[in-house]
Amino acid sequence: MESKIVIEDLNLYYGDFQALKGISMEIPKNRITAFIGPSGCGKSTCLKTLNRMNDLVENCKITGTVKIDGEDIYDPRTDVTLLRKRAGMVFQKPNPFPMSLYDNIAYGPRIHGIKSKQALDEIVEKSLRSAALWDEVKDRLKKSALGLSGGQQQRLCIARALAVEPDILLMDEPTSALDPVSTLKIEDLMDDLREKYTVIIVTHNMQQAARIADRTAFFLLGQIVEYTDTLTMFNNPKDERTERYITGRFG
Amino acid sequence: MLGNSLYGKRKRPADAALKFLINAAAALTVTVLAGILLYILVNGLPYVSWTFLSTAYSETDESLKGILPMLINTMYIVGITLLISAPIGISTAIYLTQYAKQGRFVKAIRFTTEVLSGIPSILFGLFGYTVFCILFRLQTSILAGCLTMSITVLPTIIRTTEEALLSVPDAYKEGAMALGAGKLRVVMGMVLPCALPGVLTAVILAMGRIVGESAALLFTSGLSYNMPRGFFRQIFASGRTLTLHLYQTAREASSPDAMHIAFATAAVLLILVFLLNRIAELFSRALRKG
Amino acid sequence: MSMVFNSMKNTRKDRKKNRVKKGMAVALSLGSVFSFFLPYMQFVFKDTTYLVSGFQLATAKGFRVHGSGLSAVVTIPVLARAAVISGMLFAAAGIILLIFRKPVFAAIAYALSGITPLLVLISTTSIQTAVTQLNISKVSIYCLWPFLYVLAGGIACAVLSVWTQGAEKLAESIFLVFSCVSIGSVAFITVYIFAAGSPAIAQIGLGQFLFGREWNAEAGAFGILPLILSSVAGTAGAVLLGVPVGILTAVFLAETAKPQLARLVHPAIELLAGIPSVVYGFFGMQVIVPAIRSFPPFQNHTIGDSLLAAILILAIMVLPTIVSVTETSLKAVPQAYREASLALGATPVITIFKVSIPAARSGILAGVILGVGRAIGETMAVIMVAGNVANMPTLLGTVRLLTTGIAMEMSYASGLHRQALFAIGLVLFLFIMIVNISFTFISRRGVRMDAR
Repeated sequence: MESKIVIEDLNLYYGDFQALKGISMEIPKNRITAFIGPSGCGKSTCLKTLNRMNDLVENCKITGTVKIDGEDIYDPRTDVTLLRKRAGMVFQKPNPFPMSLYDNIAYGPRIHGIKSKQALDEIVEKSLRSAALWDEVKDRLKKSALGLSGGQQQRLCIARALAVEPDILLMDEPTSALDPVSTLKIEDLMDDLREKYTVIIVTHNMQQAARIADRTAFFLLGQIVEYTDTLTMFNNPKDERTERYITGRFG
Repeated sequence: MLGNSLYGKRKRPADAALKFLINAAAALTVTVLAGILLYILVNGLPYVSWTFLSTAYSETDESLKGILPMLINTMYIVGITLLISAPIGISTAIYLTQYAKQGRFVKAIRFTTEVLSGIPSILFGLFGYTVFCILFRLQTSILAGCLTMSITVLPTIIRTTEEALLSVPDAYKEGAMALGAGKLRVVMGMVLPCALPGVLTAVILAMGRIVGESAALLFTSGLSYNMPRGFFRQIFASGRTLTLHLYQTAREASSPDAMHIAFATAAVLLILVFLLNRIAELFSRALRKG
Repeated sequence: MSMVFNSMKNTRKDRKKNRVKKGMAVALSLGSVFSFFLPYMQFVFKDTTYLVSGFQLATAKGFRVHGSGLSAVVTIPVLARAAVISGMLFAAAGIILLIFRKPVFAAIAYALSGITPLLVLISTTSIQTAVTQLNISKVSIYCLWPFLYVLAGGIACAVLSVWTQGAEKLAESIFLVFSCVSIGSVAFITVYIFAAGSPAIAQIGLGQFLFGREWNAEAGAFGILPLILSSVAGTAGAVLLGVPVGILTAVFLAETAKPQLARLVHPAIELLAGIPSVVYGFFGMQVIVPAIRSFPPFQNHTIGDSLLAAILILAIMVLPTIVSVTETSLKAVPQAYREASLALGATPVITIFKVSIPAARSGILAGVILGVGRAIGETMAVIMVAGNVANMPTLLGTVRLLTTGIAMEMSYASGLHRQALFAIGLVLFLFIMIVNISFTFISRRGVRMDAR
């Protein structure tokens, strides 16, 4: 299995507090990898290091390397903007822009220089189809995106991320703010995304990880306790702490 | 071509240009505004002395070039205006927030005060001149100026006080009501003390506005620079404030000496406004802390 | 605050107190009624003194005044008569209502009787004008003690009679009356400006007034087109210069500046919003005007005092307003929008211009409109730099704006001239109203959009 992302000895500090301690892992290409663990264990932080969104946080210091296709993204030569184009992100709370549906999707392609109306139309349709949203919204593309339901908004955000053609998709608890039906739709969608994208999902929900992820990493107090195939993790955990967590005996 | 590699920063000329514009605009703003402050202070402060602050003014007598009468007049106007407008404005805000039925009527009043707070002061001056000076026979006098200014600052006081009163959580009120306190006791003993920093901020903002006002006072309080003859008599006499003194000396000054007076007056005004601004800032910070 | 709050307990002590209040109110108002028969007002026409009681004001025909060469009877206006009579009647009605236990109505009657002296004072203005027309210059009207007594006594009686209802009721009434006073005074200004401004427009003719190109008070030409155009040009120029700079500065403070730097600049801009306009005008006079005068391409074409100087000073004056309002609305844009944009590979600068500014646009627009309002209404700073000649606006020529038009001539104008100045005030008022109402409308729409 080919590795897309290689993390080596990653340490992250918020001021004096060390949020990530010596993380090392290889994330496979075109697979879904899930990060699980209790609140505050560092899984979201780790996800954000992959497209350097943590640059926005004041007093955030990082050591170690994160390589995508062999290139260290924390190298001073790295173009952060390009990195973020290649590693799309979906956030915990749906955050569509206060614009029309169409403009939301077309935002990414436009800022990356696509101006032709026809090309944009195609991208919008393709992205919405990949996010399984096209049929629901094709008649109201010019309406405000804020009028959609929560689940639709989140799929819109996925479509928006896909529109810039990333090769990695980072999802930070994408279904935690949604109802079960919308959650199911998004999980189905992720199953299809696996073919073209390397997907990394942070989730609170262990069943969700078990349902969709190929590999799963269990985080605790800023460290990776166990990182292995999802089946192995859930059926035959090596570490006692993992077992206690997935069986729900953990505070 | 750099292709798909992450390495090598891409050049984005539009980005750089916009960034430059942002920095240039900020630099321009800061330079202009700091320039004004420095220009006035550097040229004015050397002439501000105790003698300047404590001497009377005369256009003919070279030894009398102080601003004491203007300082006194400014204090009169600030004091009397607040004496009139603060109780009325605060009462209005209390009535609107605590007593009046929250409906279309209160909304209409809010809309009116909001809209009227933008009326230029020259219109207040025009109104005050014909109504207070002529109709009420007050002539150009400090009292006429105060009455005019009271109306000018009322919308500001009402709005700011209202905001402060509305920011007091309803739970406090309900708690006090549940203990059987009368409405007046709740308002006076609970709501008003909680909102006090906000109310004081409103009053200080109004003070700043009065100190800086000139157009509304030009015709109502007049331009006389005589020393006050008596405490109550001065209220009915004409008298110029610091702003009007600056306006008048700047317009008429021909000699460098006269220019110094204008600069020094401007510097005093700036310092006064700065102090009021600081105090208001302190109060609003106290409000935010709760 | 040691009053009795609980009026439900109608103890004997309370009843006794109420009786005292009632008695005081009746006694005071009896005084009011009698004071109408005492010397009430004093008129002095050319060293002749007339001492008139309220009763006389109501019943006498008028004053026989001897002017230079002619003599005439100056009648007392009907309104003054009516006011005096009703003042007495209201005071009497208050007594009766109070005795028959209608304290609220009694209070209203007392308050109305307290207002009547002011009406008398205002309505006797016409006496003054009539006497002045007889070429008597020394005219003065004094109010005597009974006059002031009725004024103060009416209010005191009103307070006392409401107080018999208990402190709660009294406080609420006082709050209500004060709100009526403040709202009434503010509403009165609006009505007054319309009432005072329209006669001149009617007399001059709306078209003549608004589109007349010449303003010359001595020659009786009252066309304010130059003033309107200068005001519009000055405001537009100030906005064109001030808005881009202001918005970009706000972007700097809210988005790109290091927090420490923003913390330093922000209060400075706050402070500048409070600087008196005269100080700005003085700066313009000392720095901007000479600079324009000696700027090589402009030399010999301008004296310095010009529309350009007015535009520059107004642009500086609207900056703080625009910066602080824009900054506030940019800071209110949810961080999630920025994160979403950055995560799509947008640079911070693109994020600002494509996401933050559009999301904050209603707030920014409100700031711009607020700035426009400030620029249109500014008087003193402009008067010091604009030259104040009522020319058609040219960039380097002297101009007179609507505001300065009023300020320049108010102190000596009379008759139609003064009315014309009020008409300018009316035009200015309408300008500001349009601006402010659109501001309120836009800021409300902004709130609604954010709430959705």
